[in-house]
Formats: sequence, structure tokens, C-alpha cells
Amino acid sequence: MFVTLYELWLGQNNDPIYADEIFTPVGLITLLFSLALAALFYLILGRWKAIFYRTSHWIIALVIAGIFGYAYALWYALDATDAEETDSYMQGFGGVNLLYALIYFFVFSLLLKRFSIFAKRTPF
Amino acid sequence: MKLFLFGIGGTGARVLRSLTMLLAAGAKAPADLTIIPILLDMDMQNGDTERALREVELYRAIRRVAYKDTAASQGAQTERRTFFATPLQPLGTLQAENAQEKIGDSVLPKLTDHEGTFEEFLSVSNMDDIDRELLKLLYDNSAKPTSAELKLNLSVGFKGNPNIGSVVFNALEDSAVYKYFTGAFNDQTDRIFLISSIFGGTGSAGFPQLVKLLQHPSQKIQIRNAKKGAVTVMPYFALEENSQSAIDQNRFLSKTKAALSYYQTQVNLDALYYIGDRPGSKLYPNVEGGAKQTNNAHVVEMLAAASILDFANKPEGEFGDAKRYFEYGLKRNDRTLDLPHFYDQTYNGLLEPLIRFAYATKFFTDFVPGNLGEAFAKNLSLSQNLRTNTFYTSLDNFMTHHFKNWLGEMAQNDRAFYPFDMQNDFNAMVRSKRIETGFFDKGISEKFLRDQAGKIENSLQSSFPEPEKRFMQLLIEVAEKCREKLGPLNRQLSDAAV
Repeated sequence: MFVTLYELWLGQNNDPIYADEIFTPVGLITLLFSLALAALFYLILGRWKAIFYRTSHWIIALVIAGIFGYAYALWYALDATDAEETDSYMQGFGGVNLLYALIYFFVFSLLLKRFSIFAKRTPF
Repeated sequence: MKLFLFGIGGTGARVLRSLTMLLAAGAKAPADLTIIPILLDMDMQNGDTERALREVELYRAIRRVAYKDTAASQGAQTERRTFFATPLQPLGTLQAENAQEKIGDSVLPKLTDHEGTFEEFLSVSNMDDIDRELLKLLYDNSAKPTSAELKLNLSVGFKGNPNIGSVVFNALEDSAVYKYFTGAFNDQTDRIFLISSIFGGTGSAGFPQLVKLLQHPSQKIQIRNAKKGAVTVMPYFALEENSQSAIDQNRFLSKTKAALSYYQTQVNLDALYYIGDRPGSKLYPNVEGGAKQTNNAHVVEMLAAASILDFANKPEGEFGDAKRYFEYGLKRNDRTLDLPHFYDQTYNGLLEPLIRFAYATKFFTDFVPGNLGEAFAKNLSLSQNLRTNTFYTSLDNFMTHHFKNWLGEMAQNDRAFYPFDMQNDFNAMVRSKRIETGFFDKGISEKFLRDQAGKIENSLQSSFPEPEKRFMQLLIEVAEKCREKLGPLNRQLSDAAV
């Protein structure tokens, strides 16, 4: 599933390592990270005290999800391919993973916000 | 149990005002109590009366929406009833047997259709000469505003003349309001309570007449046998000098003494409460009646209202054959009273609820408007409803314009009752104890209130799907949390007298 999601935007890479060893673990970890971040925001902080629950806080969490998506994709791809530095495909992969991280966090926000107390109406 | 509460004259209205505030705060009262306030006053435009009526109306409007129809718990949580808990029901809304005339649903039903002078009320023009001359011996016939008796316009009450009021009240039995009352009084557990002043006109005239009427053998047995109580308010304020006014405060004490000696032998009630105070330095405007008579609230009125609840709280078995008299005492005779000045019964029954209601008022009027973006406020649709929904506008009106004013008036009066500083922040609102704050604990801070409101509202959602009912429960519980944060109060008086 993750291979399809990434190749939809990036196309196939000549090196099969992306399809075989990179897309699926990076996609899965990004998904789990976004879920964990949303759970932390809505179920832990959002139920604990009225400290980190406003829309501005949610945007910070969203940015964290995006930064993680981009940085993790690059780090994983560099590590898996043993490359010295990033190439344009890798940069694009980082950008697409950032986009998916944002989408995952947004979707998990919609699913989890009802279980929150203080962030029940965040971001809307 | 229904308590038929007759408030006679301006004092009756002012005590009813205080009672409304105490009930709004959840002062201790029997769970099954319904109070039927009936104001008896010829002065239909009286400012004090008009204000009390408005407050009762607001109270009723709030209460109608705030609680479920049945007291039984529905859903996972039991409904808590503290604020606005006791129903206030106008006489005209009760079912009355054999009542030929409807009296409307006002707490101030019309006492008589008569509009005009005392002379016209007595139909002096139809009397023969001897009767007319006799009347002139008994009453001043001049039209001078300071001494008019026969020419006194009754639409502003009796201007401190109980000798006029007693004649008018003599006709009470034939009035539509009294007939309706007798028709509505059917239960053996129902009680009757009367509020009046002893030094004015309407109250001091109406009280003994009404007592006589209620005990007359011609009355139905339920009324005769009902437990009856009364609070008699003795002088507690002084008036400004006004040579144009018919009200002469120099006669207050002599009228009080004369009336007391009459009550001693003629008034037989199960419980008779007396309250009064040495007048303070704050002089009241000497207004004969009408819309301009709006006296500031006074702690004596609050304690007179407390006597009503004391009477209602007394178990049936506590009334014996002998008359019982009650007076009120403070711990110390200071001119400014605070929470420690009161003994346990008043403190637990009235003042603890007042502390909670003061917190609820501050939460609603100071905190909520600035936090409409919070989840609890959005769940309750407060940003849309706060200024448009009748429940919230009534609550805001009651708390902002009536409860706070009532507290403010008592705080500025002499003797003053000044337990709360509503202008200060939550931590310093209760004057007798400031909530200590530190690096980790900011007391009742905005954050504390946001935490509490969010959690409480969330926990109430399933049991109270209707936002207004949920909001009332939220108010009650937030106030409770604030009270817990305040901690135990030191109720020992400090050495320095105020």
C-alpha cells in the first residue's frame, strides 16, 4: 500500500531498494508517529489539563508531524541506500512523506478529538 | 410542603428580595418546599416591590429551564439541585377550589380595585352627618401632604399610618386574593408565614389584621390548624429629614412599642421572629412610596429572610402548644459584618451557600465571557446563546444586576455585611480568607477554571444532553471546586473590632 502511495507522486526509482525496503517501513513509522502524536495531543494532554490544546498548539503538533515525516524519510533513505548525500528523488520522497504525515495527523485528529476534553473542538 | 408567604408592604418586598437571593444561592430548605410569595401592598408602583417582583420573575425563568421536570435522577448522574432549587410559585398559578375570580400570576395581586383617597374608600360622601363628624374626630381631614389622612391617596400605601391601613386591611377577607388563597390552601402540611415591619404603615396595619383573619373561627380548618409563623421587622434604619413627607421617623419607636404590647396579647402564632437593629449612619431617602422608594438592601432583611427558612426547616414535632419567640444574635456587635460574625446555624445554612453562589456568579460573569473559545463553551454553544437565549440572559441579569447589587448594597449599608469583594480576583474574593498561591499552585486561576470547566462539562454530557441543564450543573460543580480550593475558613473573630 505504501509503495503505491509514494510511487503515485514520485514514480518508480531505478533502485528497487525504495520499493522493497524503504517505502513500507517509512510509511508505517510515519503513520504510527502521526497516530502517537495525535493520541498524545488529544488523549493525554487534551484530557490532562488545559495547557496544550488550542488551535495554535495543534498547528505546532502538525508542524512536528511534518518535520518528522521529512527528516525521517531522508534519514532512512540515506541509511538504506548508503548514499553520502541526498539526491532529488530522495528530497522528493522527503517532501511526499511530509505531506502524508500532515494528512495522517489531520485524519487522526478528526478521529480522536471527540475523546478529548480540552481539545474537543480543536482545530474546529 | 407549600409555604404561603405573605409579604406586607415595602419591608415584605425587601425581605422577599433577600429570600430570593438566598434561595438562588441554595440556602438550606426542605427538599419538598414550594414557596408561594404573596405581596400585599396598596402601593403597586413601589420601587422596592417592583425590584422584588422582577427578581422573582428572573428566578422563576431560570429555574424553569435549569432543572429536569422530575427530581429523580436520569442517566448516569444524579441531578444536583442547589442554586435556584426551591420553587417560587405565584398564588394565581395554583389550583383553587371555589375561587370565582382569577387573580393573575403576579406575586403582587391587586388588593383592592379602589383607586383614590381614603375618604373615597370609606364612602364618606354616603355617610350620614354623625358618622362623618365622628370620622373627622378620628382622622385628619386636611389635604396637607404631611398630615393628610382622609385625603390620603391610597395608591402609594399608607405613608406610615397604620390607623388607615388597618381599616383597609379589614376588608381583606372579601378581596379576590384572599378568597383565592383560601381556595388554594388544602394540604395539612402547608404552612403560613407573614413578613411585616412594625414601624411603618402597610406592614404594621396588615399584619395583625391578617393574623386575626387567619385564626378566625369562620376560616376553613386547614387554615386555622396550619402552622403559622411571622417575622416582625423592628426599626433598623433612619431616614433623611424631609419636612414634606408624611413619614415621621421620630414615631418609629413609639409605634413599635405600642404594636409590641398589642402583639403580646393579640397575636398567637406558632413561631414569632423579631429582628431589628440600631439605625446606622447611612440615612435612607424619606420617600413616601412609589417608584422612588428603592432602599438599599440591609443585612437585617437577609436575616429576616433567614427566619422564613428557619420556620420552614422546623420539623412538625417541634411546634408545641406554646407560642415560641425568636430573636437574632451576632457574635460581636461590629458595624461591618463578615463571615466569622455569624454562628454555626446561619453560617452553615446561609453563608456557605452564599460563598458558592458568589463563586458561581464570578465564574459566569467574569470568566465565561472571556473563554467562549474553550471546548466546554463551544459544546454548550455559549458564544451564540449567551446574549440571545432567555436562560442565559436571565441568569446574567440576575447575577450581574441583582445578586451583585444586593451584595454591594449590603456592603455599603450601615450596619454593613461585607463578606465578598466581587471586584477582586477569585483568590481574594472571600474577604475573610485569601487563597495562598505559590510557584506550583496559583489558586483559582484562569487555568484552574478552564481545567475544571472542561472536565466537569465533559463528564456531564451524557446525563445532561440539554445545554442549559448541563450549564446549571456545571455552575454548581465549578462553585464546589472553588469552595474546595478556598479550604476551611477561620471563623474566629479577630481582635480588632470594625
